[in-house]
Amino acid sequence: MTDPYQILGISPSASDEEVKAAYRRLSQQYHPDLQSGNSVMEDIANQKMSDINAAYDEIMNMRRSSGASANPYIEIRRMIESGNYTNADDALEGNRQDTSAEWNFLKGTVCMSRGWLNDAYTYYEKATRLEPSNREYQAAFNQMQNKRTGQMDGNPHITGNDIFDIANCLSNACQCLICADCLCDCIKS
Amino acid sequence: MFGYIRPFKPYMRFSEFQVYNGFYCGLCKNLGKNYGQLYRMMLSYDFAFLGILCCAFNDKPLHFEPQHCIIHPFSKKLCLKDLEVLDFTAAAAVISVYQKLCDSISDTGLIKSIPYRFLRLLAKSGYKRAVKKYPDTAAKIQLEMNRQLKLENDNCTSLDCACEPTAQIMSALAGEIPEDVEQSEVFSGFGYHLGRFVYLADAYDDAEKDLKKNNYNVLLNYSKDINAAKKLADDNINMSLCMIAEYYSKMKIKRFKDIIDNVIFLGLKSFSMPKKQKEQKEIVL
Repeated sequence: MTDPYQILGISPSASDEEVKAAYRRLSQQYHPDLQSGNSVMEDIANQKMSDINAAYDEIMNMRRSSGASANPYIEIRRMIESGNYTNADDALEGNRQDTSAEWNFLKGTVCMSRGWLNDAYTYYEKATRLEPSNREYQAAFNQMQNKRTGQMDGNPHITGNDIFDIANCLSNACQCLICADCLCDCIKS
Repeated sequence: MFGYIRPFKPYMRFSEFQVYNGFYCGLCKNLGKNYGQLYRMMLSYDFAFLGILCCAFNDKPLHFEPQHCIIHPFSKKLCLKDLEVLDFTAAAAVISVYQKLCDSISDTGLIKSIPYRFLRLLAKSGYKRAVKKYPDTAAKIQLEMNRQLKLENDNCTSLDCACEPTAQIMSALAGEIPEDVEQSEVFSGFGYHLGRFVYLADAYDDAEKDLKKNNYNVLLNYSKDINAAKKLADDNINMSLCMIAEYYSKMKIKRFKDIIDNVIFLGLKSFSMPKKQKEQKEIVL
């Protein structure tokens, strides 16, 4: 049998979405109903259509049976969601040769859960650099950047660093006053 | 690496400061009573904070009383009377100080380590008593200190890895405070980032000295430029402070909120300021 990918006119590295799109496009093109009236054309279209269906089913079955290898990250995402970070990290380490944005993003998420903030920052940064249009990665990275500014939620005090300078200065001024007061007392007595 | 968890005094109310000092005095007295005079001299503010955290979580009444002590022989200071509430904190302080001594011995050469060795000899009996009371905590601290020694000997290049032992120790200590699992997890997370903060603040302060003496400092593994190294520490400290605030908002604190607020939001942030007033530089308004 010919290569199912060739029948659909796509490369084996195409994503599931691309496979579906190609299938939809071809099935519209060769739909037997469109060839009505011309029996020869109808036969060819029928033949073609069954080839396309077979090719599509074969590709989908192939991908489903190898499951994890098509997109290993679905499983890893599930582990992260259920809080199973150790297994998620092991699975990610198994895919170390992968340098995709998603790998970096998930690795960053695992680091984050452990409190490894420096690594998390680096991985999130890399994920956004590799795929700048992805909102999920961008949101995670922005959050890390906000954390780096040192803003602490729930702070009841005035923020900003001047507070330290002013407070120090005031406490120094108080000390001076107290010293001066002591001196005055000495002189009086 | 002790003494980074402290209040920011200029913004503390006088009453708060008295309570804070009361805890410090109580802890000091507890150490004297249970573990000998030596440990009293090695007490840092960090553990006073741990003591407050322990008591902030429940609402058992606490009694304070003006008392004399060696350092203040003439004036009485307000001191916590219920010493038993600080048993865990005192034991944690003893174990940490002792392990720190061991760490200093392995860091220095044979001759320079003699005073540390002498101190350790004196400290041993107190340490044994603390281990007997809290064997799990002692084992955890020992394990992490060994890990830290190994990291330094291997010249660990990852900042997060280098922070891990200190963070894990503090996480274990804080996690012991609440009894229910859910709060214990929050406290652990809080402690983790507090420990991470302490380690980084220490590395930040020592950066110049370590560069000169060619000692191990994880920041210098990222950059030999002192400003870049300090910037990295600063960024990471900020991230940890943010996490601390996040966990803190989930902690069910019943009292001393103002004091803890002061330590977390102001005291920690002022880590890079000189510890003593006289070291402060002139300020012009």
